[in-house]
Amino acid sequence: MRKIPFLTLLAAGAIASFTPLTNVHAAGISVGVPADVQTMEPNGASTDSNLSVMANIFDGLLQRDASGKLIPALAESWERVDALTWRFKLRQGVKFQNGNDFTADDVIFSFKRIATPELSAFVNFGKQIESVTTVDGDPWTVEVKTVVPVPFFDQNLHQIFMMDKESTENRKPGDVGQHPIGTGAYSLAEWVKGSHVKLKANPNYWEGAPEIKEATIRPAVEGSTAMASIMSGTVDVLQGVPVEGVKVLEKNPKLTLVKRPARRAIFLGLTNAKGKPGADLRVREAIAHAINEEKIIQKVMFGFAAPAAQVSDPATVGYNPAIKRAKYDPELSRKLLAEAGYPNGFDITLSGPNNRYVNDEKILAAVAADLAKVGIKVKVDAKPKSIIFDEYKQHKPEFYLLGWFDGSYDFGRSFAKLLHTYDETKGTGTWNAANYSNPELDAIAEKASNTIDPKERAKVLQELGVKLQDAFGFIPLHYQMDLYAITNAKGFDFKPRPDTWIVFKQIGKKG
Amino acid sequence: MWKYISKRLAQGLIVLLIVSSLGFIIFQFLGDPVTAMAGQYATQAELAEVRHALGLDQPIYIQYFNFINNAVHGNFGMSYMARLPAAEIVFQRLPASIELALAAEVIAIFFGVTFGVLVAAFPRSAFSKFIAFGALFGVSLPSFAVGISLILVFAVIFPILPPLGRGELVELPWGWQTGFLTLDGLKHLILPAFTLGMLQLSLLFRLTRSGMQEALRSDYIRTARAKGLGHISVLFKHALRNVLIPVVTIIGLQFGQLIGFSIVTESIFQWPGTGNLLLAAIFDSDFPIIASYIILIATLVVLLNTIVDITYAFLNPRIRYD
Amino acid sequence: MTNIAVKRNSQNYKLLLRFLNHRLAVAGALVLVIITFCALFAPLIAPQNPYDLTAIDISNSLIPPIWEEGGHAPFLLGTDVQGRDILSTMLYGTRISMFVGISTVLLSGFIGTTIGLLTGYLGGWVDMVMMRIGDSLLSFSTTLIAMLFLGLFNSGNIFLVIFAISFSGWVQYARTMRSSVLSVREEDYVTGARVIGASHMRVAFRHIVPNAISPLLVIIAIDFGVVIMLESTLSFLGIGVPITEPSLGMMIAQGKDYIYANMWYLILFPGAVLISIVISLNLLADWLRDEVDPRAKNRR
Repeated sequence: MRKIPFLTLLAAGAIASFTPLTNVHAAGISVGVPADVQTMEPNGASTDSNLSVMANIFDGLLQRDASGKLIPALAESWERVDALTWRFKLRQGVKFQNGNDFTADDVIFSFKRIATPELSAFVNFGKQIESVTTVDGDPWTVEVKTVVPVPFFDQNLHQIFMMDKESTENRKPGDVGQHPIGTGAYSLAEWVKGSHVKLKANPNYWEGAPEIKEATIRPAVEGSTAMASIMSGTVDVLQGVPVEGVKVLEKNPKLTLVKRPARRAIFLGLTNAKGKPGADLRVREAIAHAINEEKIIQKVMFGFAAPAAQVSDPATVGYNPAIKRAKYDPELSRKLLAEAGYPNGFDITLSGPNNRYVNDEKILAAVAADLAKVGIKVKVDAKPKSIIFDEYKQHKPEFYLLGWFDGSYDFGRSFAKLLHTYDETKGTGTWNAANYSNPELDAIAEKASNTIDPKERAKVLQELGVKLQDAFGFIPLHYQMDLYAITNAKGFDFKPRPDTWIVFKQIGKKG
Repeated sequence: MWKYISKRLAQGLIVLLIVSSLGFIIFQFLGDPVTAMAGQYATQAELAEVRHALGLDQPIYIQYFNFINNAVHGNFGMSYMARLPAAEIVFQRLPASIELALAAEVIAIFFGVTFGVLVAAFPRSAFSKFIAFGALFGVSLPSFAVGISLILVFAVIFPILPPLGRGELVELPWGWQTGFLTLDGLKHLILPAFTLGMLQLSLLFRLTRSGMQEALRSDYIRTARAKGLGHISVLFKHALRNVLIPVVTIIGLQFGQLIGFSIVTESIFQWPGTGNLLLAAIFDSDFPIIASYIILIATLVVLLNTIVDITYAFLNPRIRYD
Repeated sequence: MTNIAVKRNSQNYKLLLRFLNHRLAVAGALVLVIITFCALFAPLIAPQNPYDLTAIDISNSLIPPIWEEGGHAPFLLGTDVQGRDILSTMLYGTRISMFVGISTVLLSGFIGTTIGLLTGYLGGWVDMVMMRIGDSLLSFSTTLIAMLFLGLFNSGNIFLVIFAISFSGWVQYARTMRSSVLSVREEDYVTGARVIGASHMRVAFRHIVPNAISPLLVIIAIDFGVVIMLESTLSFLGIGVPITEPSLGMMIAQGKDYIYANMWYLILFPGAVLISIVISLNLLADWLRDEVDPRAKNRR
């Protein structure tokens, strides 16, 4: 009888509350998101939460469909002419939301703009572009030359947004960053900073006016606030349902819960500098065997994560399905440590963020407890991301937790940033927080970036993955899971995207 | 008198100078904004370029001089994260914070003073004991716990109030968006204002109660009673008036802090005010925002303190202007 | 001599009687004594050492209290997500919270009273500058200061929390001390002592400090509770004590994640202890205020 009266109360309350408080959202959709919208400067932030909003107002030359496949947008077709050259056939008759025509000049302008540090979070991408020109006097064909071969150049073009040259140049940056003018399916109706962004459908959209006429994006950063927002009916869709709250929402007949394996993998990195325990392969192997990932997923993540054997996800070029996780085996772990000369373990500090990934700090504590059981005394150093990632970039940690997924779907690119020997001039190893260095792996990675044939390249990258696993370069933990709760009443046909963007033109109405 | 005021204002400028230098020192330890600004794929060379573009590669004293120089000219730089003028962003979000603080203050004054008077007048009633105990509860839970509980009870279990945001707003002159003028806006105010005002409510309650207890024992109240004046009239017209001076002082002094300390309340209720903005800015090392915020709050506090002191000097002639 | 001693004793006795008559104050003191005792002897009482990573097992995580369905021995009040026994963690956590509270109050009290004494006694520009610095510090939120110390210290620990809160916490002590000094500085017995050649130190400690102690005690009692709550808030914001050694406040901050998962016990039990501590302190402070306020004295 007295079984979970509180939960029932919660559920009952949530049901009763489904008469909306106001009719403001009745006409459209209201979405709760886990991070605030930072800027309307289209490429001013590289966070998916911000890009997600921008993708509704702006278009790139290319776009991704709901399954993540790259399809034409402002470019009707594209090809890689040679190692350095990419050619795009532009779409004609597209208009910006202020009535200006979309032309090659806008493309040239936009590509140049993303190399500007003050305005762009994609400086790295911008700097790889040597020149952007029209070809053969055809104003609708644009050719981009890169400084070095960039095999995944096109993979980025869904998030490089095209701006109107004329209106952007004639306004102050402060104005441009608050009143965006794009070619997208929606235009900005209202931005109350810190509260919500309201979008209204663009009736002249080149794909045709979208079905949903009005959309509100409403950040709810704090987990319990997010729960309250969906349970009280303030939002119709909640992105980033806290794992702890899934159960109560699942019980609610007015809601549907949608799960999707996230692309982001959470993993540990460990230095292999001479004299450090991690220099011994057996120690690295011992750590991999000591972590009871199954329990971490079951308890800390409430079951909403999938064990990871590698850092790349199945959608990434270079993902190797043959790679298997190291088994949980504390006995073996203790044996390996003894063999490596650490029968009584050793002391180490595990660094990690406490406001970046799902339950990141709790994962750190659980890992520390697991390692304590094989004798490794771990001190957990969890700090806000701004401080800890700064330390990562200075290569201060010896043992750290990081989450990663590659926006350009390329394991080679990830490896170069995450684990390649740090080299300032080559720009490799920027995120190699513990300065891991393995020349054998570096060599394979370099071989991959010189391979132009995509199939061959994928094979080399898969080989890299195997070697990386054998060397315990990373100790992968799990893939996060994207969790959404959706109100049934309004009949939205919502399919989550792999990149977690919420693109309203892709949301339809059921039947 | 004018000498006193100008002296206070000069001192206020000193405060602002100290605040800005301290803020600048703190920034050196807040983490590097460049990492987040340049994107995750940026190389060291590109990070250096971003750093240069922001002037963060210069020696600290030059950075400080530039910062003060720009600040004097009303320029606090562009927010690193929003890539928009920082002072403008802070100003846009100020009305939300001020309205929240005002609402919290009104709640605190209304309940704090009323309960204080009633409890002092009827110390033995069950109601008084309940209130006195309740006031203790108000100061014994961290505000995030209070806020989350209020949302759980009044927005989820008994869904009578909205859990987050400001609701419908009305635009006033100078771009001030107010939630005071719509029913929806007022509804949205209730929970966060209670959360924020709780501490102050307890404080005012205790202050009023002890002041009233003292006043009720004094001779002139006894005289008033002896003259046959009604109980209520004695309470509110004679006794309360005597208690109000210290109460008003506290209100003035604490109002600045209410705005300054609304960070947690604003983050729980996703209130689009300056506190929430500051919290995000702290975690993003967005110095121009932090600096604009601190200086704005400091100015507000200095102004309020000065006004309180001057009013107090008017009310209490024994204070000398020195 | 004996006469004075007797008189003093009887005065103390009267104080004790008045205290015992004040039922709420006694209740508060009792609760505090019990909680302090439990905190001090946590290692002896607690069934488990929750800070020993080898002793906790994640397989035991999120077990409800023993009287609920699914609860079982030895976890009387259940376990948290890491598999720590909640009762044990509360005992250890109270210790940390109390330590943070006491250290912060001592540190900010020491700095504050010293500065208050100096500024009140010396007056002039020293007074002006110090008080304006105090005003300035109050415009910084503790969150920001805590981030500063986090950057300075390079890792989260309780001293960071103590320093961060003391950073601006001393100001109220300084203000109280200063106003006490100002109120007696011109009194006859102080000026008299100076005329007969007593040193500044002697005047300060014999005549001025005793006068300020009573209001300071009241502030200490209230501030103690405020500090414990601030520590909790910092943990809520992710800049508090380390997660492997949670304080009471950290437990509450973590427990709030599970409210919607129906695991109310994660926040209720530590919350109840926190409330008991703060309420008890306030009851004591109320009594103390009545006791030291000369105007309120003759009411009984």
